[in-house]
Amino acid sequence: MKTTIPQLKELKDHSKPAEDFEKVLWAELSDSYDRKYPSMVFCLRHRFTVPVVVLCLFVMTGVGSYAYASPSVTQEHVLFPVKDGMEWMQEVVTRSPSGRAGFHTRMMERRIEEGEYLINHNTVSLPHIERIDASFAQALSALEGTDQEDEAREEMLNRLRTGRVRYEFILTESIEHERETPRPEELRNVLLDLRVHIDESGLSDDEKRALRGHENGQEFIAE
Amino acid sequence: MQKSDFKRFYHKHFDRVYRFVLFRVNMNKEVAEDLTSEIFMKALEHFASYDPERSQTAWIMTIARNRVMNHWRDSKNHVDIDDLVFCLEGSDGSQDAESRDDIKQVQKALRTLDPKDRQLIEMKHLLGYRYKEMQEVLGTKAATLRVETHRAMKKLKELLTSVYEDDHPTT
Repeated sequence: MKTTIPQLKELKDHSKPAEDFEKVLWAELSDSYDRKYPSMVFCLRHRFTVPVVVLCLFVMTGVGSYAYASPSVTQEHVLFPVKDGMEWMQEVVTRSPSGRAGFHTRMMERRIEEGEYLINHNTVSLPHIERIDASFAQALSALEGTDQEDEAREEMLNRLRTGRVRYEFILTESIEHERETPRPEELRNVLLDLRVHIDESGLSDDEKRALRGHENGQEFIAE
Repeated sequence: MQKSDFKRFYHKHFDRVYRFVLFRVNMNKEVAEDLTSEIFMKALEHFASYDPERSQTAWIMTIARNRVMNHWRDSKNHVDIDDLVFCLEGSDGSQDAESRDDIKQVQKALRTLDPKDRQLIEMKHLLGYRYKEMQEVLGTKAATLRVETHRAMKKLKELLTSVYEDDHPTT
């Protein structure tokens, strides 16, 4: 006969709950807990975070697409870094010589589209022209690096020829544009130069005021 | 209330609650598992409103006791669960014959014991309570409980000897 404590221990061991049961019951309790006491994170995820993330993605995708596709996004535009970044990524992932030639040809066309947009809005400037020129050079260089003698190369050459014509048009228009509409800072400099040579002593107060008013170039431009 | 608090509470009391129930449902493991699940579901339901000043042990054991009572009341068999404790087990094919005999003897002896002594031995040696925890549930000083449990064990030993002699009469 065993002594008392070992016999009690045997009964205790015999009545031990199954390990699986403990785990399964905890899983059920855990689920019930989550349903009964939804955590702040859970609430936010469902009531706030998801809509906000969806909205952000929507906006970012929309803004990104707009920045990439629109010729109005140029160096002065607030979305220009987005566009520049996307183009850079595109360039990084394009590895093959023919792919790079195609990429730079596309970039050349995009710079020309931007130039045309700026010409139409009378805002073209030297940095834009230089950018088009650089893209043209890169496209030519990339095309020279390809070995292919096929239709694709011929098609790219045609696009470059067309681009060249459009680029020349932009150059001509920009020269005309600069002649017709001097910039405010250019006007200001011209007027300040003129003022040095004007003797104001013989002018009336109204004439002096009018002359000073011209200094910011506003009235001159209005005329 | 944090989920981790409830998890700690669950793992601390799971074994004891299960055994407490099992000893009162004829050692029927399936019934014990069902009732244990319901007891902890009920505890979860009221855990947020649980008074931290109150002993967790006393609280969960009250829920367990009430649930077992309702179980027997629903089956219209018994209403006093103390009469049911250590009723002999149901089927368990995994134990060998000698172990089963030992278990039956100790269950038989426990049933013969005075309810107060039986409760002390059950809490201390089968459910694994400390005397301090027993004090929270029973409202008696831990030192007194230690002495009373020791006495109860002596009585159980005598009963076991008597049960053994009944089962194995000398020729």
